[in-house]
Amino acid sequence: MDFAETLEHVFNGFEVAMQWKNVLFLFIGAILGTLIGIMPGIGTSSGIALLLPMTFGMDPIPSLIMLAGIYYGGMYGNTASAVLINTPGTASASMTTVDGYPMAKKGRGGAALAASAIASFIAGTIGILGLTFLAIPFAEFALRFGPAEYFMLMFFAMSAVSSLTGRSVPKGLFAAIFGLMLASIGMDLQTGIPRYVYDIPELQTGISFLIVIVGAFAVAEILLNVEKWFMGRLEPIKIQGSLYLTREEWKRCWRPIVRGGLIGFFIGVLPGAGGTIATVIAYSTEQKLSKYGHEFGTGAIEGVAAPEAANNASTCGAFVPLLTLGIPGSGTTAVLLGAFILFGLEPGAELFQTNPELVWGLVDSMYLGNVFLIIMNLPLIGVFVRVLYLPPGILISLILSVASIGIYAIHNNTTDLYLLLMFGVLGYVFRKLKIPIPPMILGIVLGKLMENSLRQALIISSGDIKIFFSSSISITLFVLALAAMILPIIASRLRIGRERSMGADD
Amino acid sequence: MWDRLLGCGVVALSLGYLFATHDMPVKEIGDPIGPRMFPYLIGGAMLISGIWILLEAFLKKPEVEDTESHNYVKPRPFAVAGVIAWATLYFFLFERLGFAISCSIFLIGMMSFFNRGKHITNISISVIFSFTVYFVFTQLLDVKLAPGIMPY
Repeated sequence: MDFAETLEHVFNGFEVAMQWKNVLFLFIGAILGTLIGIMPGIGTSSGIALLLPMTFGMDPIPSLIMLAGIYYGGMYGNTASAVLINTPGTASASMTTVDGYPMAKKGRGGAALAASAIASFIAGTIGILGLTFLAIPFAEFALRFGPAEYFMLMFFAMSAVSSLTGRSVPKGLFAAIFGLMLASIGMDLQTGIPRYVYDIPELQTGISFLIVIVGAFAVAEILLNVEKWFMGRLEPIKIQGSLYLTREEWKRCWRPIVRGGLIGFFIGVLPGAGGTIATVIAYSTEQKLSKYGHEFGTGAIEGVAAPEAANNASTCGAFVPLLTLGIPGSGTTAVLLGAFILFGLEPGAELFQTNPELVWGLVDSMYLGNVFLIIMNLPLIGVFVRVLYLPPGILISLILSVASIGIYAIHNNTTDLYLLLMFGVLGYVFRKLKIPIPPMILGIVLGKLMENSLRQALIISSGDIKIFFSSSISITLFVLALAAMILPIIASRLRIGRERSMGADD
Repeated sequence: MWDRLLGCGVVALSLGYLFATHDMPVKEIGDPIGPRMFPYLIGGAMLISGIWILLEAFLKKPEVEDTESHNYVKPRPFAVAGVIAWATLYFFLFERLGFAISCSIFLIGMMSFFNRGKHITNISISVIFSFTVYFVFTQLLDVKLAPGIMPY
């Protein structure tokens, strides 16, 4: 496919994205994303999980546009709480607190929010351009994949997410396998044999991943917020100073924004790495390169601009493997993959051929979404930060009831509600034991697809497992999967060794 | 300590899962790969992860939580158990009393604890939220929510 054809798709995508219904849902997604991002304690994964059941029965295009809007909208909003109450709205805004909060304390909160919004807009646009032009080469490459390659690709995605999302590789691995285990419950569609059902009729159709997602993300988050409630509410610092950048601030910011955008986009493409790692790398890169490196940690504007740029661009990067390979690289994109599957769509190379208006409508909606978001997050940020003054006790209560509405509406069945609570408790226990949730979500969302690929490949090869090592693509993916699992362990050993030798030197 | 327990739990879970897979009925005809192969792989991998967690728990120095850090959140098991119990009661009443009434009761109870002293605000938000959501979902969006003792 050539450049002209890509442009044609892009223009057709704008026609879809500009339809009034899609614009309306994009607007709703951008507002909800900003609000969810601002509220500490509700991550974008939880926010999307909460709203996912509500989209049941709606058109897929506006629904997916809205859910994607919540994802990248959350990356705009998460700065406000990081800057004003020193608590990141989502984990990927953690680096923003380092310089954003000191800036707010010095009366430069306005400049911090402006730097963040402008960085998010520019880097978001860089990311969407990257997504636009990388999507087709990736999708064309994915056309070469057979069942064996798909199995290896999912194996790689799982090992990368398992080893990179938590602090312990075996715990991440356990979470991913536990998700696969949950996905194996229910009727085996190829043989009609019930698996692990034990005379419980509700389990015949399996455990809906929607219940697991809402429970493990949203309900668990509420239970954690119950504990935080006892610590009292953090009073936000008032936004002070202009919400525009001075010439001097802009001069200091633009290079970190561009670099952060590029770093964020490419790290976002990698499965497992995600926004938080992108922000850490962007921040440390700027600290090394900037002539104001000594100011980092005390309120350097580059320390806000670079991670915010990386943060936003990484969300666009994460859409590349999601849309072209059907592989989510993070918890939030796993939830979004769940949304695609709920609508009966399987993201991947074929979706570009069978449903181009959806793919390109979604991609192009991000250009418009970015424009909405810069407006909401610059002149209107003062309005949105009012949510920081909402009593957390009211929020905790309302979110739990919203979760119950969405889950009950799927099958009109209270068993689902008890399961929701059970997975909420499980998610809470996982968080307490420092077991990452995203690998579990990836496991339950990809479980059936992974098993189908395995079985298809083995049927093709008459049971010969050499099929998984018969192409350069699958061998490369297998090696990458092993490397993703082993490298963090080697890195951790090296770090411990270095710390010990430094301790000995002291 | 917790990680050692977790490791033991994961090993036990994987063994239970492998036994359950072994006991699964298999048809002789049809799919030659069968429904057990993937679960066997899952069970085996889980067993490895359980042993790995145990090894890590025994070999690594235990992490000491920094209770002075501003990120530290003191565990409140009784409060969490209370919310879980209250939510269970809410789900128990969900179809019996209907969404609007059970949700109002649930929210009033939650807010009475977590937003103490503001009775009028709490009751108003709870009742208005529950009945508005019920009306919007059932009448405008045509999504069924349990009516319970309500006439429609």
